Amino acid sequence: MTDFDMAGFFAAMNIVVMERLGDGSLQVIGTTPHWFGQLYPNVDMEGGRLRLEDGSSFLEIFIDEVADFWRKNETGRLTSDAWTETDSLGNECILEVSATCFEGRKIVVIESLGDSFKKRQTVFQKARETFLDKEALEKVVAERTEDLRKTTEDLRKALDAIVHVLALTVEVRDPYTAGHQRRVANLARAIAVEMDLSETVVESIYMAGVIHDIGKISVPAELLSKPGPLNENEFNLIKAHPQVGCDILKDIDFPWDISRIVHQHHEKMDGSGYPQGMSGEHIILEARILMVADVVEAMASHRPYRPALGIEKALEEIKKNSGLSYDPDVVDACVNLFSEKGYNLEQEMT
Amino acid sequence: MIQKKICMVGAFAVGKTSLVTRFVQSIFSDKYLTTVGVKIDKKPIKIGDVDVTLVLWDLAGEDELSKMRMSYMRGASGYLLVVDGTRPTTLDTAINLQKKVDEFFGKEVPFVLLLNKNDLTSEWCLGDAEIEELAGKRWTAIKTSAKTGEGIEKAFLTLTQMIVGE
Repeated sequence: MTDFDMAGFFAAMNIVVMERLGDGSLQVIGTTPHWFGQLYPNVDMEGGRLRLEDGSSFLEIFIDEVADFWRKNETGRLTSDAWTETDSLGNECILEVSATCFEGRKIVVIESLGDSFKKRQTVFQKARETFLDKEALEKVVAERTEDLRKTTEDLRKALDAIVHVLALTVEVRDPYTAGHQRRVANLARAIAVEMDLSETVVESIYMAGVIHDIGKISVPAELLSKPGPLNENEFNLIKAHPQVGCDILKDIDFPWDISRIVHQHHEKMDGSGYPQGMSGEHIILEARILMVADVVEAMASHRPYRPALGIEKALEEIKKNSGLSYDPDVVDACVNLFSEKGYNLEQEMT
Repeated sequence: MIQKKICMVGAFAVGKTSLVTRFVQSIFSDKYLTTVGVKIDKKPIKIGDVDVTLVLWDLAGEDELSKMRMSYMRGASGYLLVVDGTRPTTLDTAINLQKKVDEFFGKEVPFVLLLNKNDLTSEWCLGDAEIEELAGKRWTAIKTSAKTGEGIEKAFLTLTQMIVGE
């Protein structure tokens, strides 16, 4: 290898090899390709020494970054990103610079990338185009999700309105119980929240509460507002309202099982309720909650056949029959609401 | 002749290279060609009686794979922070990059925010909330389009004036 023409080899490889000197300048080893002279016209070509400028050029930034690597005299090499610069003739040079330690000397190699850069660029191009496609897709998905959310919200509002209109159909026939369903719905929802039930269950209880007496539409209006006690036949008509309500609601495709809750809201834990005489946990929890809320609101409110009994009496009733007529967990939650959380049915009634 | 280094900073595909190409060569191509590494151009301009050569460092945009190398900002007198107005996430990237640049320099460096691709009005996504946020930051923002040339001279001149005026 003694007759190996190193300078000629560097020229053939289209690279510039330089040594970093103690004064910070770069000493060219061998000859340089023509592009180097165009790119660095200020290089002292006779001495082959390149003095760096103000510290902000690409080469200087790179050399600064490899200072540690050189100081530690590490093996291998460090390579920069590609950098594109326009030479004094207006030609674009795409370059890459590497640093290595060789026999204790700090060596810098600048290489003109040519076709290898195009391959590298193609890889990046494809990756970034994929990112752009992904972004565009995510944007479309986000827009459509938002559209769907708005549509669902609109449908939900329409459903709420329909349910409230349904509730009014009963209340206009029975002014004494006007607002009863809304108050029961509010109390039932508060009990469900107190019991830490899921949002969906809370919502289903509320919606069922709003129309739980829809079946009373089949009861003659004069019976609903009758001031005195009901006879057996009349009471049987009243007792049919959960079944009628269920029949009205069962074919409506609500997002919740409202017809079932309405159907069971007069069932009691001991099986003494109506219309099916169900008992215990055969009665769904939502109906057990609605039952308690219904009793408390009804007792606390004025009725055509009696004055309001008050909330204390109402709470006494559910506590007394906790486990018999009413679910004890529901009773506890309801009592807690009034005694600990300050739930105010009167306020709800105004 | 004063020489000032200015960097183009922003997410990938926001139009940094197109802005430089439009400013330096007065041309525009619709074809997206990603920048790899750094592309350095020069452009002489005049600010009043002062001749200034802008050394424009067009840095590869940030993406999921590669982060911007802050060392490239060394010696920069200012930078153009570029956002693609049709891609709201590029504003988040720009806001993060601005913080990083400030941290790198340890002080506020002059910059102008460019809301680019303003020609794509039907796809424009930056709403009142985003604009208000920028107003709150008291950033200088200019709407640009490398396609139509809108705002480009103004952007570079505004930044240079901020730099020279310092």
